[in-house]
Amino acid sequence: MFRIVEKTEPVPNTHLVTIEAPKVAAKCQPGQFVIVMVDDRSERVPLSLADWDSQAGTLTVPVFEVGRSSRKIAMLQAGDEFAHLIGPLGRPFPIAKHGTVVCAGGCYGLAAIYPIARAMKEAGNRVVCVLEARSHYLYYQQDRLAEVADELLYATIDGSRDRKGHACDVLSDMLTQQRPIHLVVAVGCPFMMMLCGEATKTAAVPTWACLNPIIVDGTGMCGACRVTVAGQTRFACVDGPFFDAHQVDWDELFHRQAAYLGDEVQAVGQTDAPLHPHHHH
Amino acid sequence: MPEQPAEVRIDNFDEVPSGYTADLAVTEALRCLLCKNPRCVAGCPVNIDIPGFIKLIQDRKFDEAARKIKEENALPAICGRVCPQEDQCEKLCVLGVKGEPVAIGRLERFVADYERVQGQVQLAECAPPTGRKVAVIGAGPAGLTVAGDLVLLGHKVTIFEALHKPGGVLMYGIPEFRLPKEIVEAEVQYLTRLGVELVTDFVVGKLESVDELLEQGFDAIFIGTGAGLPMFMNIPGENLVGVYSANEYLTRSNLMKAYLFPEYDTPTIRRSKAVVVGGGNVAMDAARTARRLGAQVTIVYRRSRNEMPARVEEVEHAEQEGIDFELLANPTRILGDDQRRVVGIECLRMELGEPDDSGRRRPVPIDGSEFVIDVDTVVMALGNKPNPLVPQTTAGLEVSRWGTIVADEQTMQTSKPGVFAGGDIVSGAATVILAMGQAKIAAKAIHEYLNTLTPGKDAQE
Amino acid sequence: MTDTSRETGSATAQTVTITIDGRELRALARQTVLEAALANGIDIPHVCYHAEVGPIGSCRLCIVEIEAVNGLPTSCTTPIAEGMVVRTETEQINKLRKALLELLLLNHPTACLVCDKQELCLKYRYNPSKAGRTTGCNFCNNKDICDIRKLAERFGLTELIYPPSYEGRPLERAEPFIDRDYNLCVLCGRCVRICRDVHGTAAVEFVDRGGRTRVAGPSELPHAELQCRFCGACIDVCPTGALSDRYAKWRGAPDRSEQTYCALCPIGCPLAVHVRGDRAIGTASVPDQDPASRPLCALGRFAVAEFAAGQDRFTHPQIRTDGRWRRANWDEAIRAAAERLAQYKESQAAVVADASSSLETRHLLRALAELGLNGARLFIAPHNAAPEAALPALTEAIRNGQIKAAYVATAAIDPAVLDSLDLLIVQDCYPSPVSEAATVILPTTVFIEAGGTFADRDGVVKKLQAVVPPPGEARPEWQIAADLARALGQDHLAYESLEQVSAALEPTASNRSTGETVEQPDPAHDLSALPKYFRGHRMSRHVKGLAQLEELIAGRSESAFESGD
Repeated sequence: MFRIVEKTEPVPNTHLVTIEAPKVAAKCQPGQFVIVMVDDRSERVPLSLADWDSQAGTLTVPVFEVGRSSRKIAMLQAGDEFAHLIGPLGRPFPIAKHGTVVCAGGCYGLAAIYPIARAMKEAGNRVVCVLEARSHYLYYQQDRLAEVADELLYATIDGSRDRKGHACDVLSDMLTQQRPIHLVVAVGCPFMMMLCGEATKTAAVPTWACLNPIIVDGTGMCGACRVTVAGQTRFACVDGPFFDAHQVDWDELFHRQAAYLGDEVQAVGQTDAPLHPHHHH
Repeated sequence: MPEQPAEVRIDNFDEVPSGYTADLAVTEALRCLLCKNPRCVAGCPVNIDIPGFIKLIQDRKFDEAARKIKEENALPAICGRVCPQEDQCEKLCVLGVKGEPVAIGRLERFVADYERVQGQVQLAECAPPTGRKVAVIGAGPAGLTVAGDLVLLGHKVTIFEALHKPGGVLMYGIPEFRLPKEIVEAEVQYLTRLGVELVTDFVVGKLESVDELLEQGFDAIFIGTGAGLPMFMNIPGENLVGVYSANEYLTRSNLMKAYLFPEYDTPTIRRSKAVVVGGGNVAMDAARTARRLGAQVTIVYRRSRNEMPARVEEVEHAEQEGIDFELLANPTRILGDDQRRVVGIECLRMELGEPDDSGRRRPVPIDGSEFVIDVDTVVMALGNKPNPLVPQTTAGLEVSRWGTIVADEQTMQTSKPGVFAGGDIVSGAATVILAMGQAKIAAKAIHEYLNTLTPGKDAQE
Repeated sequence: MTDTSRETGSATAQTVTITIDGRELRALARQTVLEAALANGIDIPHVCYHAEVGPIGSCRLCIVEIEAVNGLPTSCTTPIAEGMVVRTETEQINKLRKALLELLLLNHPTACLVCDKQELCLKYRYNPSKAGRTTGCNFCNNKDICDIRKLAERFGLTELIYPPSYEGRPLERAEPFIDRDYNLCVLCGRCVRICRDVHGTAAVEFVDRGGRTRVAGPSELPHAELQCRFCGACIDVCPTGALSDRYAKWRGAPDRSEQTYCALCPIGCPLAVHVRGDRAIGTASVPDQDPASRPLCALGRFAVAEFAAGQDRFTHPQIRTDGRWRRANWDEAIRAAAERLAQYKESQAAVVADASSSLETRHLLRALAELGLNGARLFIAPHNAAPEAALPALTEAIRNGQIKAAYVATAAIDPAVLDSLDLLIVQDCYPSPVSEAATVILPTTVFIEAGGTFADRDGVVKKLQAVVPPPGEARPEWQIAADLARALGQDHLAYESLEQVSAALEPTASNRSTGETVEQPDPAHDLSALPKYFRGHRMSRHVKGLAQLEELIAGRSESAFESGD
């Protein structure tokens, strides 16, 4: 059983869950993810890693509530347990010295980008973090990112902080200013990552996106998570989750992600009342 | 054998053959001649003493019959259901020369079910602890068999399973209506009661590698990770919404119980028209699952009926359930709408030409014979390749060009000392019973290997 | 929301002539400028006004210029006068309105409204994400029908002047039926007014003061916990996603709304059914009705769509052979039923209808009993009856062996005597202990899927509409009964349409609803009067929110007892 040690909702709709999983925590590497199941009827839900502590034997994952399964997780409290946790899955992101590495994060990516930013910094890179959020009150983790980044740049869709627009607009600004960028790593919703890829395409800056298709088994056994990259079919769970943003068939990813939205409507409407009504996280 | 009629069973996931009653079983058992030199035993990949257990059924000693089978086969309730007995023991039965062979498989099933339902499952006695530790990777048929044999010999066995439930294909691949999961769970429970440790949610190759397990003190490793890598045709449209590998389709339905959505969270895969591409047992399973989910189903297979590798019984069941067959047809592309959802599959007619390497006549396309079937679901059941995770993360493990682990036929020993392998990861996609056969060979060899090592610190004097 | 003019009182509708934006209009004398404009297709922007609750003049978006009047009065509170000249849009007004909207949206997530990638987003992400907390339109269930969003688009909002904030009020999702996210509330007050002023309850109220004013629901108002009757009117008038119907919220905007009646109890309230595709996604009270006349009860408002859409609805005829159910086609099933029933004649057989059956259905079931089965007894299960207690006379007759075969169009049969029947044939919409004991099951429609007439508890005959198709092969009850009667030799019952049956009804005989006609409390005002059963089916088993509501009622009555209320 995997006990929740701590659970917070730092900004609306985003939850940070710290889970006791000593064996997995000892092996986590930047860029990887885990799969959780709340109980035996749950879906297998993939979640990127925000951080881990091998001493304490815990790992932390961001959960964005966008449907039935994430809602089930969002309604848990510290002390509750996940029935299953599998990991670490996915290929670790290759860490090397490149020069200037831009780590762009949006939504759950604001948490998930941290391990990569940290590792890139340790490898001697100059790290610039670009944080995208719909509004200024949706930023979280800035302090932690500030600890490992040389520079933090903000993009808000409503213009309430710094640059009005998306992370891709900040990237465009940087390229227009002819700032050297050797590598871009983007973690967030596919829309955000697709736009980041488009922003860097002409300048041919290597850009890696953390793809998040529907996953079922997570070990390459079923092919549910297949994506098309450079015209080839790849499995996000074992070949990814990071792929070359310039080569991803984004249109296909969006449509495949939407496969069960209609079915989910039926389930979400019948979700049980919260276990702890009116509780605050 | 009483069976659920087709028009009833397409609405449920209950088992199709309802099994013998005690009287029916005894009647069938009495047909057996109890040959002095039984031919059937040679056909059994695990060498069950067939006349031995049948005699006990004749004498109405069902519990003893169960124990007799379990001397060689730890999973009789499963084998009785999924073995292709018609190609193995029953094929060699003397009575089969002129008439019907003894229904050995059904008798095995009866005995195993009887024992389980009566609740009198007796634990076999294990040998004294040897102090040796064995890691079994994969809780599928091969892994469970190795574990079952080794624990009886006194070794400490830990099974590491990547999924959240044990069973491997028994759990995720074979549908409820062919192999109830309750039975798989009962069989696994028997092993844990014997002392086997089962660790689920553990992906060897990601969480820990085989080498790390050896470093941690396991004296031997058995790799039974199976052929869990789906094959696709690489035709246009294969990534449209509604195209599944059989693995995904069956995993959703069997392991994640999508047929009970929304009680179970994994979304339903109910659609109205499905095509299943392939002719093996997996294709039949996928087609019959789709049928039960309410779809009109067509199986598309590039060769003819005779070449279909699926068990005849399962093909017949599929036909009875109203599943159509488009034989001598091969898909060329899958068509989608503007939301990238499947709307049709285009196929080409085939004719049989010269035999290929497998000895079967090669299908040859007929130019200009394209036709389209309107569907909203396509399931690719073309077979599976070995899952590369463990081979790729284990140093010194020789792997063939097909991705299978190379293992000695007599001992199932791999190129890495102390590491053995069996089942689909060695043979390529095959059957449950063949995996068990290899597992038995491996268990024997592992036991002998462990005896060559210097005694473990926990060994009894 | 439809904005219709409201006639308030005067017998002769006096009209005046006014000019709005250069157009001369005749309008009813007692209307406001806003009402007159809306009635004539001039859409003056407004938020706090709603046709069902009337004006309050707080949002000020409806300001207009009126000749010879100082300043910019709110059109919602200004009565029209003969010769009035109004301008609804000027540069000044438009600027002010945009600023007012922004103030309204100060605490409302507005990012998606001003995002410059909206078109692209719509292309790739046409379904809103089912967020717990809405942080933008693309995460809001109200996206497709949101009044605020429409206004933002209309005013061309592309930037925010004031820094937005998010209060972080807790989500309230524990109540039956209603999800509340007050972080989306724009303080229009429509919910407070419709609850208090129109329906005379106080289940939602403004609390705190000044800049901290906000709307609070029952969870915060202890006395109000005893008051909400789950009529859903607050949800229907809420312009944002702050209040939503938990079952319907993510199903998107309806394609159409059709009017019929609710048949869950003998009151027979007029019902608007919202349909998307071929599925009912929700129901509401009919908009053109005088809203004070009657709100819907919790069942009419929240149970109908979910009840119709249950996963375990009967969809195909089934025949039991050798203890197992198998599907059959209609011909086979009717024949099987007729053959078996034919062996039981006269007093040995019974036909059981339900009080909720339409008059046409009852007519045919009566014909089936009297003619098809040569004088079999006809029973009618009363409304809201538990199966055990519905028909004591029938139970007795089965128990003492008088009745051996039954054809039932209800689930309200005492389960204790089912084994005593030799033959049981069921036409129903859902499984029940009764259908489990049957030999043949014939799937029926529910009332939004079939037409028919019924007499409400006051004897008024009302006509039902078939609004959505039934699932699978389910058929209307009258049709099944007619087919069965014909199969039993009653060829004169060869009705081809519902209209033919309706025409054949005897007006006087069927105009009284059978069963109890005792004065009953109103479930729209008294939660304890909510029907628990429909056709013998326990409603809370089919509609999740009803089970929660029953717990809530039990809890309330306990606390009422304790507090001595």
